[in-house]
Amino acid sequence: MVRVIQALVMRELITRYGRKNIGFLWAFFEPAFFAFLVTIVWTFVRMHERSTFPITAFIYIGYSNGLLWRYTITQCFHAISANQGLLYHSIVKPVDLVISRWLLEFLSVTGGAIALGLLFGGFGYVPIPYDFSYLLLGWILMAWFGLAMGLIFAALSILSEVVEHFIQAFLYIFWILSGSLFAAEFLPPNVREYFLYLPTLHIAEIVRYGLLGPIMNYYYDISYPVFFNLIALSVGFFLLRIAERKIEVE
Amino acid sequence: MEKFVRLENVNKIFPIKKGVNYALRNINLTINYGDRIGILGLNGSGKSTLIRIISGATKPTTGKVIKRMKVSWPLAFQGGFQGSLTGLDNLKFICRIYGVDWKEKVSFVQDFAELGKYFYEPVKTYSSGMRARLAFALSIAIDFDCYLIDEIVAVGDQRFQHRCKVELFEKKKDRTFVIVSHSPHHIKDFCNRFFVLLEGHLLEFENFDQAWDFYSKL
Amino acid sequence: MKIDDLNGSLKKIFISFLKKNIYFFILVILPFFLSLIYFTLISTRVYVCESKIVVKTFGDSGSLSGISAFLKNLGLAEGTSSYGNVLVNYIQSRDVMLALDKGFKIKDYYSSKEWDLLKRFDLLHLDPSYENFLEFYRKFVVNTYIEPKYNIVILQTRAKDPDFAYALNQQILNLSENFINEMNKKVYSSALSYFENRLEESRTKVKSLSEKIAKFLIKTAVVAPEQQIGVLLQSTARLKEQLIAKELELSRLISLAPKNPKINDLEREISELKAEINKNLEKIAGSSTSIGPQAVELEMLKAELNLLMKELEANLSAYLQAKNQAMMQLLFVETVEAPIKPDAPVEPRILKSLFTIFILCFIIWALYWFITSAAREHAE
Repeated sequence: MVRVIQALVMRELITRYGRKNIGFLWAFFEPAFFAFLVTIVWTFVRMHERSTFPITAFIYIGYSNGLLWRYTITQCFHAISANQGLLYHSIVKPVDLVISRWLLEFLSVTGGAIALGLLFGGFGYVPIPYDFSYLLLGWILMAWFGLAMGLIFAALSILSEVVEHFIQAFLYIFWILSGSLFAAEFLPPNVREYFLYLPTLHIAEIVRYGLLGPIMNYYYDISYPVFFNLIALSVGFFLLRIAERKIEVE
Repeated sequence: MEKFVRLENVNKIFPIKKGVNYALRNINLTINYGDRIGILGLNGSGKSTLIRIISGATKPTTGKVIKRMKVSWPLAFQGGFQGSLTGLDNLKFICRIYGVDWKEKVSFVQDFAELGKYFYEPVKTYSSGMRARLAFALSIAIDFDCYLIDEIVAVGDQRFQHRCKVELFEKKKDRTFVIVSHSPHHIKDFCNRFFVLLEGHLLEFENFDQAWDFYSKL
Repeated sequence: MKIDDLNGSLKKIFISFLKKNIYFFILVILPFFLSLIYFTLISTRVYVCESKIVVKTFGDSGSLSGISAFLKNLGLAEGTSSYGNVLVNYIQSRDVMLALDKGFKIKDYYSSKEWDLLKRFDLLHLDPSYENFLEFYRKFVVNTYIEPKYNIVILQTRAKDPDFAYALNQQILNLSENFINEMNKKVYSSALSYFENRLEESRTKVKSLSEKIAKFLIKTAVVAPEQQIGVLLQSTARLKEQLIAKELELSRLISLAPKNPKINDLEREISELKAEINKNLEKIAGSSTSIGPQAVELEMLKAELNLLMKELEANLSAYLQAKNQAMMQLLFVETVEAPIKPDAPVEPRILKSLFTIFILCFIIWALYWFITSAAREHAE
């Protein structure tokens, strides 16, 4: 399975980014550029406020972290339909197709985030992480979440005809609510408890704490996203197993 | 270890506009290593579905598929090609997933497929003949226990076809073959077990003549 | 024989696996084991002593409400924790570091060989200056930050002995308290000196004018006995001062605590004072028996005295108000959580550190694999 995934990742990489100009380096540049733009826009929007809040670092880490699930879901949703022919190779399973896309997105976003972090850090906009272990923990949790969601959506792409029409809207709404771009502290307390049902908010809080330290109050509970991810991952594998019986290659 | 592929009570049901289509009904088949299976069937009898099930591309609706040998993809199948990738890229990919060192196979495939410098060009620039030749070459490059052949397709010129026959039916003649067709020649010459697929049912016959007899009366 | 064969083939498998994934071993397994050894065997155990302090003023009710609290929580309002910051800056200052070094010889303590190689100060003896140590002190020895919710300053001291950490923490708290007190004194006196000066000026002016009037009255033999007028005038001035102070106090009490029983006493005292002042004024007025040209001059002097008294009133109330405000601004340090001697080492956090290192190395290796494979693919 490992070598199948490795092979799939390389194939996907060259297919998507080709060999022209910087080739596979686009894999890092794309998410980094997107995150860069968003961060710069938010920084300028808030620059006229005289506060000491580190808006650049805040948006940078939240956005990069959020890409771990956003890009993954979009890619994994089409993982099977785009590569159906490969299933003729009995050694290639639908699960492999999904995981290889997730892996590619993970490496792409992580690499891009590191590069962007070094860039911003060099100019002093992003501090040295306050607590690396929380930063990494949050990163892993989000990647895990992305994998679980990727599996679920890949399964749904087969099991349902209508999901593909709703997925754009869903992603957009969920992205806004997910907590990548705002802090739990900004929410009024009575609303906050509902938002805390979203594991992505916990994960974003963990990651932000890891980078920025105790400059504000954080609301997270490590066990919740762990728990959620475990269940979601199991559901994903299960759904995909069911969906496998429905796959029809042309 | 015993090498075989076994289908147990395999059914394949497709939902269609007006109800369902029973593509395969209660198939029970054991393919042992070295068997050379010939399956005759009309269009729409479920031949392709059966091939897909054996290759693992599709899962049966009910029933089990037990694989204890390395099964190829349908020879000359091109669905696994990525158009924007070069012939070499596709070779690398195939070799990687089957755990074969691609460097060892490059010269053979290049030679066999006779693509020349197009080997390093994206597959989408190939003619259909070139694609078929590449697909063939890749199939032969990997050592499989069982080769699936869905409708022997005449590919390339006489010389190429001869080479294919040599590679497949002579150099690998002790391997397993599953040949699905509606033309009798290769099945008659080469197979040792004979089946007819009729409306999803798989019927075995003692010898080719009986099978052909039954088949021609359909 | 068979077991040897097994051993041999296992070894072969292991070596081939190692060869194929050499970078994995170098980038992930090796660092992991090195850190495992380091954290379990080598790393010096660190004890952390923590205390919590809050810096308040009298005027700080301690809890904000409404918009200010909301803005504060957003971290967008300015100067949200300026008092805390003052303290944090002080604790991290050179003065404290040097004071601690004087008392506890902390530079030597943190350079001692008992600390492991990674934690020791100035391991390679490159820069044993106090400047360099100041950085070390700020990063490792003390850790201060402000808990955003209630503006509490958290002070942590780290050492390899629990007693030492405790002693340092305690000492820093003492130094902080002294510092705040010193600051208060300076601020208090400098704020009031201006008003105090003006008040003294007024008093002197009133006094000299009163004397002038007394002399005048004696000279013109209008009144007798001479001393009493001067004394009466001065005592009247003083009584008026008292009256103003009490009236200010009364109005403050009424606005802050309208049901305070002191109010009644105050009101009684105020009316008593007023009565006595009037009595004095009558005595002064009554003692001028003759009318004539001196009377005009006398009236002019009296008018001037009146003006000066009004000025005195104004300066007195300004002084009293400034005093009040200065009192409100006084900072005081309150220990919310006293330091306690730590009983168990807090660092190194073995599991956390190992987890971090493993994941970090794994990601680095994954990226390394990705980039090298992709580069190879790219180059064909």
